[in-house]
Amino acid sequence: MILQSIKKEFILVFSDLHSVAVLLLMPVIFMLIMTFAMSERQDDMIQNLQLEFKTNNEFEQSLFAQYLGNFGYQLSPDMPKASASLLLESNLKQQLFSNQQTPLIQIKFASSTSPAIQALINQHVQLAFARLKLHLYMLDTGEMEEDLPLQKQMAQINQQTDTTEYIHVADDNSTLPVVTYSVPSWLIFGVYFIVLPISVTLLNEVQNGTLIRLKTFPLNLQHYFLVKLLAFYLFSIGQFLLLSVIGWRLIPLLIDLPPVPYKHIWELLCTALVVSLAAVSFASIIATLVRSFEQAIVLGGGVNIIMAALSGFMVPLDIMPTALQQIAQFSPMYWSAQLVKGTMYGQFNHEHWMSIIYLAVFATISLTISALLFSRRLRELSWN
Amino acid sequence: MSAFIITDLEYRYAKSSVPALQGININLDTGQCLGLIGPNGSGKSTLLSILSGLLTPTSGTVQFGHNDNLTLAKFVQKNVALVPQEYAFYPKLSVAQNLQYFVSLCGFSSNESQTRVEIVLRQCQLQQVSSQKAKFLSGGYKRRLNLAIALLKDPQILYLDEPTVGVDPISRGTILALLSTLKNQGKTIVYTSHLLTEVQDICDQIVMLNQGKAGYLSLNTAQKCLTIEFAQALSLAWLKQLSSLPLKIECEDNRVTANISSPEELLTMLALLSGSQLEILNMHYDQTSLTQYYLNHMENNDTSEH
Repeated sequence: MILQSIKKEFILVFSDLHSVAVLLLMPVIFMLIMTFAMSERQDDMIQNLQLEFKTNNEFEQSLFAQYLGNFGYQLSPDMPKASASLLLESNLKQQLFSNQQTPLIQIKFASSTSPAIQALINQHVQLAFARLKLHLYMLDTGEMEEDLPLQKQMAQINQQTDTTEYIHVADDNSTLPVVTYSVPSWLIFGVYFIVLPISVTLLNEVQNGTLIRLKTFPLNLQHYFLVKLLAFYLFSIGQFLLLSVIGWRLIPLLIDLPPVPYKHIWELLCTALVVSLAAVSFASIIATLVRSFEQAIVLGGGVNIIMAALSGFMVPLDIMPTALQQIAQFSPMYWSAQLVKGTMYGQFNHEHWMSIIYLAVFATISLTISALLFSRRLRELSWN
Repeated sequence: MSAFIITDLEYRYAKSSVPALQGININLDTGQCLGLIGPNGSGKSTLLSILSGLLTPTSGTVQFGHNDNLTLAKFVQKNVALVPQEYAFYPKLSVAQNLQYFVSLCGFSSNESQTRVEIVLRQCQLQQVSSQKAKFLSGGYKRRLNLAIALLKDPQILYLDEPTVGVDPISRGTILALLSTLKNQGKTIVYTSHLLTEVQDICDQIVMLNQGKAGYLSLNTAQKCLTIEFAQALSLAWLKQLSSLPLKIECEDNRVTANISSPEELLTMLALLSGSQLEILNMHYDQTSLTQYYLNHMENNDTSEH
């Protein structure tokens, strides 16, 4: 019975193109788009940014513009599609060294400019001001020769304010940060969408009388329900492993990054087992709760999307307000994503073991609830 | 030997003041076929749900023969199979895959399962479509597959809900012939259908449900019907003579239909005919059709209500 049930559910899922698209194609497309979108280096990103910069040709204003331009921005006095418009005050030198702290520049961001880009431009404007101030100060005190060509003067200032040598990034593998952000999130998102095929199969069985028919077969229907979940659990593990191969190995290659190595296979398997268990048990609650296909799509899909948003899949958690960050700590999708990230880095620590425990407890509670809901569903069955 | 005995059965749905079923008494012998007829909402589904163990009667009893002290649920699991009106199988699986899956739930050994699948494929004449996906089958084959799945566990009692809806005459013939064979093999059948000629053809006992109450029809002692077709249209004088008879008579152009309840009534009718000079083209004397019964019963019910 178990083998036949597994065979049946696999045939049903694979013969339904919508299920295959939701479970495999959708997460792969998300992983690809997001990894590609986030793989752009900051230098490349800035080169695409245009700043509208209005001056009245004072030397200080022009020097500031050159310092800002050194970061790679395209600066021009007339740019209709600029990310931001900058307006400098006159008498910049006098105001820079006065004791009054008055604004020297007005920045007006375009409505399409994202908060992250706004923060970046702000940071670069501050650095440009700091360099301008140092430049003027060194000229004033004679520490820098006025006769030097301007480019050499600027090079000297840039050198004196360069702090990159003080910073050392421990892991030099540049693929990991991008891939570890986008791949785990969308892999988990896809795995939790197992809710749709489970709900649809169960609803079909209720609506076409199969469940009533099965009530007259010599079998325990709770046992039948568990075997059905087992079939989907095996499918989910396969889905997880396949998506991990695509996310770890193939997607980095497509965007010209080295693939992520599998560091510990046992960690990957352990993660696949726990994450799939949580996803299937959560899906089983929705499947036993919904009464129509519309409900299954709205509730199953809707809950997944909300949970993904709260787990930091769509907007990084570290730029979310503290309250939302705390809510994420209670999301099974968040625990699952943390676990997958730990697997990618090959560093299972205390936090990851806690995620495993949380997911196992969550799965146990969910399975108990769905078993109760399924019993209620069986009691409601009658011949139509 | 009784297959089941229903005694003073009553069922009320929660929050409903009117009983869905009341005063139902049925005694069905093993190997017989019970026809359940009645309009939609008359209580047929409720009665089938009770017989399937899905609902528990509010009062009264359902007793199965040979129940070996089993609970109703266990007895049903062991001896009863259902054929719902809907196609209760997996359209994306082939006929063989459907049968292999359902037989795996019956608790047979691997060899027994294979044998059962082969038997029902043959019984329902599904061999030639066994590798086809169920969703691509014609309506008739889908009905046969629906029935075949029920036969997998070799049940003693079979409940069928409109098993021939939407099928072509050939498939209908196959299904009805199969049901007759099963009946001859000693299987007990409970059959619901709105196709009353079918019910009349295969059922030994008919229960007509209306508003939760049962009317019991025994077709052997029922009224008979005399239909005469004349060569020419009936004259007014003749129509007058006919209407003076104490019988329920319907006249239409050159055709007369009379409901006959006793041999005396038949003789009266024949005496009138022999005295006439009318040329008779065709004469038919038979049981009143179930359809006619059904319509009369529903008409009487409507009249008594108003």
